[in-house]
Amino acid sequence: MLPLQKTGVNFYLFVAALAAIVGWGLYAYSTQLKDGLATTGMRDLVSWGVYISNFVFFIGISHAGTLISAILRVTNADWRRPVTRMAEAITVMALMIGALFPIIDLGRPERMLNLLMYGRIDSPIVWDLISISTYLTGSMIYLYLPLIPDIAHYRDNLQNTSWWRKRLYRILSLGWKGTEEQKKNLERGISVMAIIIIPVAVSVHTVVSWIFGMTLRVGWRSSIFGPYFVVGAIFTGIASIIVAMAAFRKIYHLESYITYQHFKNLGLLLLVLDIAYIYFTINEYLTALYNATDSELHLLSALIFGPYSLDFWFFAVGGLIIPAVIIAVPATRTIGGLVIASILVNIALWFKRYVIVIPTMANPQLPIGWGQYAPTWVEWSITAASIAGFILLFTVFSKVFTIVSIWEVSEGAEGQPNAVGKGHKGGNA
Amino acid sequence: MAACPYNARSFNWSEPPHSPGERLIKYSPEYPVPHRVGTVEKCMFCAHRVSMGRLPACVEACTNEGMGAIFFGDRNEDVVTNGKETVKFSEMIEKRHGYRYKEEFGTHPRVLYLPAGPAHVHKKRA
Repeated sequence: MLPLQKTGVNFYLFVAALAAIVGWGLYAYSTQLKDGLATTGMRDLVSWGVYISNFVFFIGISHAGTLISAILRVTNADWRRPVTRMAEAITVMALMIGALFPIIDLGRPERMLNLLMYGRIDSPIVWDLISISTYLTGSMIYLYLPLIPDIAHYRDNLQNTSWWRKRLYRILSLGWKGTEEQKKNLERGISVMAIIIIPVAVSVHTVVSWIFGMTLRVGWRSSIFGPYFVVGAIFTGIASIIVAMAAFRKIYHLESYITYQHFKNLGLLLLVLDIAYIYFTINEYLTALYNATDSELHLLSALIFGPYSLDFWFFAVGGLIIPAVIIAVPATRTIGGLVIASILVNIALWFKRYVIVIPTMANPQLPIGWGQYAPTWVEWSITAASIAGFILLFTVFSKVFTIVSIWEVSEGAEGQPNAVGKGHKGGNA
Repeated sequence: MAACPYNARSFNWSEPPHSPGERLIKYSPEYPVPHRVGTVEKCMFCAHRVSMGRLPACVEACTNEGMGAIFFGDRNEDVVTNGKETVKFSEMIEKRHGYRYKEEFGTHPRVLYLPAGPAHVHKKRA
């Protein structure tokens, strides 16, 4: 619990830097509000740009959490204990950031409420609204439930702490005393949520893919888009957990809780998802290539040889093949190697989302020539602010709650005396 | 915007220019006038002019320039006009091989195109 008690100068510097980037993004957004979306690179032909790529990217990362931790819980994988909290937190934070992007992309954000009042259920945008808000609510509950015993632990053990912490912990711990009945109810609640959250998570990214798949556009109208997006989401989700694990392990000195074994397990899971994603990618592009209708070839040649080829090949080689090699070869399957692979996956999959959204938009549907698009400083600033905001939320979270679940780790240690986490030393975490 | 297979919609990316006349019109949900930044628009065949008994601006302008290539009318009445001549819609489409874009999508657009007629082909060859 040390990070909850002591805060160094570096922390404040780090937070200030992140807050500055977020502030810059807010300024960029204010100019967009003032002068209209003309401040972006989007125009009539390419009316979706990096905002929508970012939306898909963050919703993808959000699958880290909940899905991984839920699956590991349901299958009773014991090594999950020190990493579930982190995974669940990623979900909630990535969702909160990701869900902002469709709103940032609105020309009239003040009319958002109309979507609730007059939205029609036959519009995929309304499906998005329903599924994302369900997912956000569900994953917040799913993050909160396993936090309750820990919050009670902070309430009882943090002595010399600020008044707001005392009050916060008292309220949020809901009078947890650790009685048998409370434990039973909590376990039941967590199990139920773990099972509910899996189909919800799958449906969310499926619905996100449908805002593309339900159109009549070449490059989007694909029946495998749902599973393709879900696999991509879990893929980037795992990569994000690995990066977060490495960062927190180093900064908060969690080496005794998060061990190489965790990296290896998640790394192998990442490899499986990588191969699955390669499989889907081949399916998606080979069928289009073999059908070779004029419109498909028009788009594909732009991707493979044309103006988008750099993005496309960076995605294919840097995001799929190189990470697979790094993980598959035992010599490079070190913590450092896995972190590099994970960062590559996340960057490359951002480009993949870019390549899904923009070329299809630019590809002319009538004989009118290609659309043009290049993101402006406003779009880049808001994108940078979203990443900084994501890290900022995470940093603040790790100062208010422990990033490793104390009670779950100690429970695991009790069950197996030789287990990884030295649970009873929870006070040092 | 993203879903329309004809790119028929347009967006007011910034504050659109306003004509003095437009400023006098009271806002009505029937017409996208006055234009507003941040909203999507689509050609509605100048519904405000049609309700006054005038032809859409593009039809009028085309005929005034001596081309008369655009016809407008009511499908139920089966009559279209370019301001100079009034013809039976179904007959003209049949005779001049009128077609629509992306028929296979089943979106039944109400805009049809007339290929260049024999007179035009002749002119081109000459």
